[in-house]
Amino acid sequence: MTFEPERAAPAKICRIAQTADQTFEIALQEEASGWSLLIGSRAHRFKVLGNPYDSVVDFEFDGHSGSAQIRRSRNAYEVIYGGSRFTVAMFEPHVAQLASIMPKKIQPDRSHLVLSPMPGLLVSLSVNAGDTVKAGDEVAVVEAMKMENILRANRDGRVAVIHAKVGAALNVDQCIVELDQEPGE
Amino acid sequence: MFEKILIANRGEIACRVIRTAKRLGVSTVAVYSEADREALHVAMADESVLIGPAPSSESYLVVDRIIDACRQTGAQAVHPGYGFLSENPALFAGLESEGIVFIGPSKKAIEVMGDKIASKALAEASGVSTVPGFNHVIPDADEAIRCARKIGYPVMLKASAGGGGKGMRIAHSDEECREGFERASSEARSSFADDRIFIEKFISQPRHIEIQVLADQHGHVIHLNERECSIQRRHQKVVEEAPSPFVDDALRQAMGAQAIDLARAVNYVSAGTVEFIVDAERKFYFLEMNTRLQVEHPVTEKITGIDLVEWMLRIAAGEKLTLSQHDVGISGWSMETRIYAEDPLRGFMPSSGRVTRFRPPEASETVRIDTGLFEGAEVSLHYDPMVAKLISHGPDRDQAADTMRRALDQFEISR
Repeated sequence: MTFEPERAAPAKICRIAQTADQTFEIALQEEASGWSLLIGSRAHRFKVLGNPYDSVVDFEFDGHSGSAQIRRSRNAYEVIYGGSRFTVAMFEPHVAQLASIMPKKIQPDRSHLVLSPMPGLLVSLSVNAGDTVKAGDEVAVVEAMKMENILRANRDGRVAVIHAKVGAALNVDQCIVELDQEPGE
Repeated sequence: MFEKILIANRGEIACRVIRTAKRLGVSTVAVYSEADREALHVAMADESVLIGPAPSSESYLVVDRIIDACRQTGAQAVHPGYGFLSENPALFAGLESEGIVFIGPSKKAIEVMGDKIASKALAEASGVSTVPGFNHVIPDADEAIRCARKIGYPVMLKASAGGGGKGMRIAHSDEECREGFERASSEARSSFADDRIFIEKFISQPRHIEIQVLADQHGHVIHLNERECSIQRRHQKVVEEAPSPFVDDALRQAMGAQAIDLARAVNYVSAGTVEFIVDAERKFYFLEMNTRLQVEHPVTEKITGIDLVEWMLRIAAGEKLTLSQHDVGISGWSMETRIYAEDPLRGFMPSSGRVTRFRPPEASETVRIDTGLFEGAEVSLHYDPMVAKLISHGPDRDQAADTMRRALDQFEISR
């Protein structure tokens, strides 16, 4: 099976977001039994075994069989494979060019907050409002599923507010201790 | 054989014990807390008894409730599973006074092996190789530092009542030793109501290799080969396999012989596991003995073709072990991965909630799933986060790994 560019469907741009965006240009050509792909400059063979709309898709890639979980998520696909989760977006080439100049959303800085990393119980507090802490100082202990977790201050600062009482049940990301915000935050 | 047994546990192990009991024609009684009303083990059992509110300390850990449930239903024996009361001499004593059989070893074996300081002393006395260290209770952090300096860093601080990776801290310096002592004591106090700590040399790059033993009430003791459990996260096992890629026949025989010696030293009965750590030179040291069925027992079952729960029931009913050491072989390779309700994107913190999608891969000769979870079930914060075990089998290690990888890719779980 050879890849004939003139027979192929117009190339699409595939962007895989994990920790860093990776972008690939992919051209597809339908064959009698499956697909030919040109990813960058490399040709591959791909076949879906069974139903491509099943939540678990069995496939064959260059002769090796495998399975992956694929789910539509907004305007991309969530793919779970090999223990990792990938967000894969497919674009027409002209859309991909425009997508690359879209402004990126900046995550708000929450380093002045000490949040519970898991649902659990607030076992102890090591600080009071008004105390000064250094980055790394123990601030609280949260317990869940027989595991104890020491929570520490993310940076130096003064404790502004204590938001939870010892013995309280906490949700994930619930704020326990708030430090003074730096000017400009 | 018993007509009716009660399973003093929940989740996947309760389901697994019930499965074998059903196959043997034994009636089963499940116990459950209020949080487990809709649980799978309750639905699978022939009868069920509510034993308390959600927290384990008010339900699964209350000996009296278990005994009441036995009385209510006429259960003749109790299988304790692992964790909970499986290594609690009080359960044994309570059942004994009612004439109910505890499916496991004697109270003395449980007590001696449940105390790491005592079991290490017994191992030394029985000629079993042990880790260099101080085998007495460390009263405070200052003493911990003094002992640590004598042994030489790095050291391991361990709770005497500990197990399952809890109450352990490694220390590379005096400061880590002090903090480790405080944290290990605190964790031990809350997990085991026993804050005694002792200290040992930390063997670096250790392999965690354990030997499965099986003994009947007529003095026959055999071992069922080893399991390698070195792949761990926060001292919790995640991937286990049998046989071990590091163990050759000579090592297997040596470790097996010492495991049997130790079992005989406490007149051990039933299934048990002797855990060793093995260094790079294949020198092995006794770690602890677990006087119960282990989580990872399925990999041993897959390579030996032996149903350990079936033998636990038969042995408890007084039957003779019809297997000799000669009959125990190794067929192929098996691996197990533990599925935890933990969020990998948040440092593997416990994750609770309703499971909206739970579709394991199809079970077959090469893929086994042990679980108590099902689609729509709730994972609560009250119990251990392990929700399922996936076991693969193949003719060799590579194929067992390939089968496992494929099965994991096919396993759908989400909230």
